[in-house]
Amino acid sequence: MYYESISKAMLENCMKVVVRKTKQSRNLSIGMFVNHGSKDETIHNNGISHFIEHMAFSHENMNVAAKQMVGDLLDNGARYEAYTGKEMTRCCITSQTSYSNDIIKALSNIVKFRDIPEERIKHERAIILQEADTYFASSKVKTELSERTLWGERSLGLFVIGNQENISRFTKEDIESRFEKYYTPSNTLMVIQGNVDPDEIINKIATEFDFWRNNKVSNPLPMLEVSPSVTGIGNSDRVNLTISFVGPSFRSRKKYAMAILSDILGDGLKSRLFLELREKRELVYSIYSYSLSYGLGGYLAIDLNCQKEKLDECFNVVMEIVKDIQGKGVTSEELERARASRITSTLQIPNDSVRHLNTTGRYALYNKDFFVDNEVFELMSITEEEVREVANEMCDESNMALSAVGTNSESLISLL
Amino acid sequence: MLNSADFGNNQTDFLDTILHAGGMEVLSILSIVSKTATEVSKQTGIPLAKVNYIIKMLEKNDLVFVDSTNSKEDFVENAYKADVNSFSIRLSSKNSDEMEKIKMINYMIDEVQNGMVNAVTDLAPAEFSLVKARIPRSKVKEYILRLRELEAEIDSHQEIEDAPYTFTVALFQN
Repeated sequence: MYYESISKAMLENCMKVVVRKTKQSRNLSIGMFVNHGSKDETIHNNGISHFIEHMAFSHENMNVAAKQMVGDLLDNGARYEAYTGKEMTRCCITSQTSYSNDIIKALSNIVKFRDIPEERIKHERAIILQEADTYFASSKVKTELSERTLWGERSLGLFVIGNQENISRFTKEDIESRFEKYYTPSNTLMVIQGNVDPDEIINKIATEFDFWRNNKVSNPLPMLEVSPSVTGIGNSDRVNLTISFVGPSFRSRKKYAMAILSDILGDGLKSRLFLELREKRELVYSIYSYSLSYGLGGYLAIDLNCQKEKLDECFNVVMEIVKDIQGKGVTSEELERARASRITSTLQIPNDSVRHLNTTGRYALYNKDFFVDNEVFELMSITEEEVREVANEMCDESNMALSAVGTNSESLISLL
Repeated sequence: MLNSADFGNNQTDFLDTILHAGGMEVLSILSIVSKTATEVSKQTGIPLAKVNYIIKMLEKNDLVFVDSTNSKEDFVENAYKADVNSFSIRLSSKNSDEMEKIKMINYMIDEVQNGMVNAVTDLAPAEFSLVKARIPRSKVKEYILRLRELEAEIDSHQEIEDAPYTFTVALFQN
């Protein structure tokens, strides 16, 4: 019989530990999730969490002991990854299970972050500036641009990478003092996934991280400003338009209905947007929709790429399709197809250990447990009426933001 | 190549923003009372995204300011206000975008003209504002000529029975 189990512990220093025992695994993944990201920044220090990730969690910049330990693990086939998001910073090591002690020791040394050499900061700054240039010139910027347009220059609206001016300005003092203040055990969650004994590994973590103490400082309270607007950048014959609607946060059960609505609208070859704008009207090559939910808020986005002179027509057709769902709802066939697709995707998560670990960590940061069957149950319980309701609640002009790459804001304003 | 500075709508001509449909309406409301973007949107029927965009552009150009910030749980909302000081226009020889400011001054002169014509012909309630402009010496002559044209146009609308009016323009050397 298939079942999942999660063991949880709170250490004396308030660090949380979550162990997911996966009997079939021959590898072990351990992720350290710090509840600190760009949501905790302001426009004046935007980008510092990402800078800290480069300084604290990049192999080349670690202290001597941590660098040696992580280096040895890499020599023995381990995979190491560090990442900064809007809501958290994480580093994750995946290796063969026999290296569990070495992984825990390496992670406990990584957080001994102090007195970083100035030359390393200078070096890393140059790399981050390169990363920023690459990022802002790539299509990856579309998602964060739409979030900036929904939420302004505050918390979730801030770019993870920050801006070039801030990146050029951060000092050793800025980086070290922020790390000391917020990268603390009470702000950290350790997720272990593999064929391990939960009690045994929690004990090892408690021992290795016992030295780590808290500052009596909480994260700054992130405040969300829901201020949907328009942002158009660049100038090209082709425009990438993103139409976004403010939606439910991660904590709301409505996020499931939003996800289903998104899939019916624009996921795959049988979605309404694909069939109408691409197959019937030949207006676009690429069109899709997606939904995202953070702890503070969420949204549904429709993304399309078209000729500039067809922008107005594309926008109107998209809005007609949305209005049709608001008025007439979705068909049972559409709901079942979207539901089945979501369930397939959810069932795939345990087959990808890193994705599984990251999903478990993300849920745990919101004080929730990720279980595949619970997700499937939630998806199974969504009704046609709930999808229509969420479409009516979300998809109106007072919740809509428009962002585009390839045209300016004025041309987007003219769509409204 | 784009950089992060491009993401703030800085490239848009701010004059376009306040002159396109809805721009002056938003500015007029905020010049009377402090309101949130949502309130302005509800009052005017202009889509919220457009109101927010207009307010952001006006704020970047110092035409409106955050009057108060209200927070509830995890959410925050700003209320904005514009006042007569917001319409002060600064021109200097260092300014590389003089044409835009000149267009703005001309627009405001036109607005004053419309207000005065409305007042003397009883077509609509008049709204007056004080315009303070720092004008480069080289432009003074041009503006005086325009003001004379304005005066002549107002006179041309006068009927015999109209009440007398006063039109004053003062230039202070600075």
